[in-house]
Amino acid sequence: MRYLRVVFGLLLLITSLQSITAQERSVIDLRDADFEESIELAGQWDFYWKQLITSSEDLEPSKNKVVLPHDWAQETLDDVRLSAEGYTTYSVRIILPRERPQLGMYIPHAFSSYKVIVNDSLIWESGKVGISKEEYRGYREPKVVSLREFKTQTLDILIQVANFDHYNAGLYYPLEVGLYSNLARKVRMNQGISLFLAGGFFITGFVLLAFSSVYKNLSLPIPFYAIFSLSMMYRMVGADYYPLHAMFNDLNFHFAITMEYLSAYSAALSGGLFVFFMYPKQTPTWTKWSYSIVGLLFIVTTLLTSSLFFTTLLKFYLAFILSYLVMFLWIILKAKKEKDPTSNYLLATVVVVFVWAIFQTLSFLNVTQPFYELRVILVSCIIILCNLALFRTFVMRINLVKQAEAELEYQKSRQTMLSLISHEIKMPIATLQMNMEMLKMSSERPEKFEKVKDKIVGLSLNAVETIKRMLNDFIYFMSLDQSSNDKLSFDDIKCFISDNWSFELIANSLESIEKRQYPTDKLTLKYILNTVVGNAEKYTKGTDQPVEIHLKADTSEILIEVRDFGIGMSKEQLAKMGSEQAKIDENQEITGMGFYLAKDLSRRLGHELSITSRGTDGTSVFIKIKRV
Amino acid sequence: MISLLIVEDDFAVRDTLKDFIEFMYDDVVVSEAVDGKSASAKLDAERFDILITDQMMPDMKGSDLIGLYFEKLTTDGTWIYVYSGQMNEELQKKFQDYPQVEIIDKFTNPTFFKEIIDKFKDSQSQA
Repeated sequence: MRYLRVVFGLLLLITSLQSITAQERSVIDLRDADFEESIELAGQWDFYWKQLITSSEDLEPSKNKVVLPHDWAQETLDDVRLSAEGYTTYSVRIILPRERPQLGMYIPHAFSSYKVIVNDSLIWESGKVGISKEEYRGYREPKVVSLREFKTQTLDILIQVANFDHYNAGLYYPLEVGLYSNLARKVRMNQGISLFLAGGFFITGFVLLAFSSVYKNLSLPIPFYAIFSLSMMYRMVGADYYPLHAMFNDLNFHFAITMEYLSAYSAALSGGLFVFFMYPKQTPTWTKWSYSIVGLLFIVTTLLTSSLFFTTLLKFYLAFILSYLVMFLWIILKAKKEKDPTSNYLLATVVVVFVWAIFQTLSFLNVTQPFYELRVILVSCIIILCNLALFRTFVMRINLVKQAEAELEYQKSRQTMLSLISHEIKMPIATLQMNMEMLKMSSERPEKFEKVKDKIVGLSLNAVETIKRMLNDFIYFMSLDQSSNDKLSFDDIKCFISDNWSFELIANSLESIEKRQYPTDKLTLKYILNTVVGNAEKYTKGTDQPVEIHLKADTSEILIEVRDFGIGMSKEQLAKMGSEQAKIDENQEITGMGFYLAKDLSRRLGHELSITSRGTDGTSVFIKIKRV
Repeated sequence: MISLLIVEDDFAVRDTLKDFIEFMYDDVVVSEAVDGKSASAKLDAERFDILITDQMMPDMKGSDLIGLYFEKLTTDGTWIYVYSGQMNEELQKKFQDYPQVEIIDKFTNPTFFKEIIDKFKDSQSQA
């Protein structure tokens, strides 16, 4: 019986001790900490729902204990799920070593306002804590509060939190205690890094907007990338370490939170559209539309609904984006496989964005540590890789555009040639037609025919000759490669001229350059010289000094001069030479066109063809062949 | 006799056309002008039944020449023709309010010049 009493008494004692333990205040014992590294204040805290407690003195321990980091929107008290809207007080007693360095406490933020009271002293208020939406004002900025002033070994910490704006609520992100200087430096440095990255995004976005206004043909992908950059810029200053809020701490909270979410959606939307418009052939239409519609829906929802609602949606959008990042990778790989101009940098960028988005999502969901430094490195990589990718891709595209322009120019030139031929050929054909009509009437008008018959024969022969030459020109021009494939030395060119034309050749060069090579195409050069020499011959009458060819060379070029001693040309005639409308004087229409072609062919070979009048002494045509 | 003025800076065109018309008709006198300036001198001095002018000339456009002498030409009852190889559409626009001026394609069909004269002759005989 006595033993039974003892057992019963012991049971009562244990039960009463348990009760006493349950009603004790939460304590975090840091007496063994050296604070070389900051320490998370994770663990059990007292939770006073719907109470804003200002003093720890005589504070009864709460029967509700919670574990930090804590989101009260996920909390159930007395079988009732708490609403995200509301207010509370978190309380803990920290026991510190007697001898300790100067400490501080880092608080990332606490959707959406909070007040820190240590040993009954208010040391920081972020926004304004209140018991209703009207009384309260939200604010977000990471803060390091100083604990240096408190010399006691125990610190009774009360953190009042009020939230009427966000889906998450409470001390969601871990608090840290550490050396005040280290914590403050960390916040300052990360805010600085955020600003630096924002600057990178700003410059990229700004420059690209200007770039897109110049290269209209690339206008769609570039503005999207510019918007992506500018959105990311806002993310850098208006999220994570919130340097924008630090600079403008009276920034309207609703505006700030809306912008924070809008920038996330617009960055994702414009980034996606950038990829879609960069590779339209590889992008399935449904992908682009579904992605855009979903993105726009989230944007519209953010603009039109309360923050308490739209903040619930971000996690769904993050999941949506992660799935689409796989699609982006597929599109780019497909483009690469199909030999569309793309860059490995772009592939790398999407991979990095993918990794960054995973960490961003995990951080947002508070599944892991924030990994801020890692995310900074990833964002820096994104900026660098994106710019390299853009540069490479656009250089490739610009080259393609240039090639297309060159092809267009070539086609235009052919078209001009065709147009010229079709126009100019009318004249000799008309001559032939009129001569045929006269021939038909010759029996009826024998006397008249007798007068003009020689002229008719001469004109007809000329017309046939002209048509033949025009057709020759045409076929030659349309079939020619017209690029510089041959490399000739000064001696080669000298031999080439003396082999093909029997005019006097006067050649002058320095010995040192005689071995140098000059790029040209022999066949085309022959055509050009034939045209020029033909013109020179036409202007030379029997009494004039014969045509001469002068050949000069210096270190950078060879100059071929075809010099005639004919009647010379007026300024107007010179100005018209080489133009599509070339008409000099009687019998010169075809010559004018020939000169136009010769000039065009010279340009294609990289040579320069020019003409100079020497007054009454004649005309000189120069062909300049530059050394590469 | 029908008086016809050809205004054309290209010698070959002018010469061939003159030969052709003179070969075909005994009652057509063909005058030539090599540019706007010499055409103006001839138009100041004489009356022509038919004026055929090229649009593109070194010193003046055919349309400007017509503009300068339009009143005289219409008073004289001159039939006015202008041609240009490459700018027919532009010319059509320019003369859309002037039914007296006809635009023809340069030498698409040279016998068209014969048709002009035949048409003129018909109108004369009907009158």
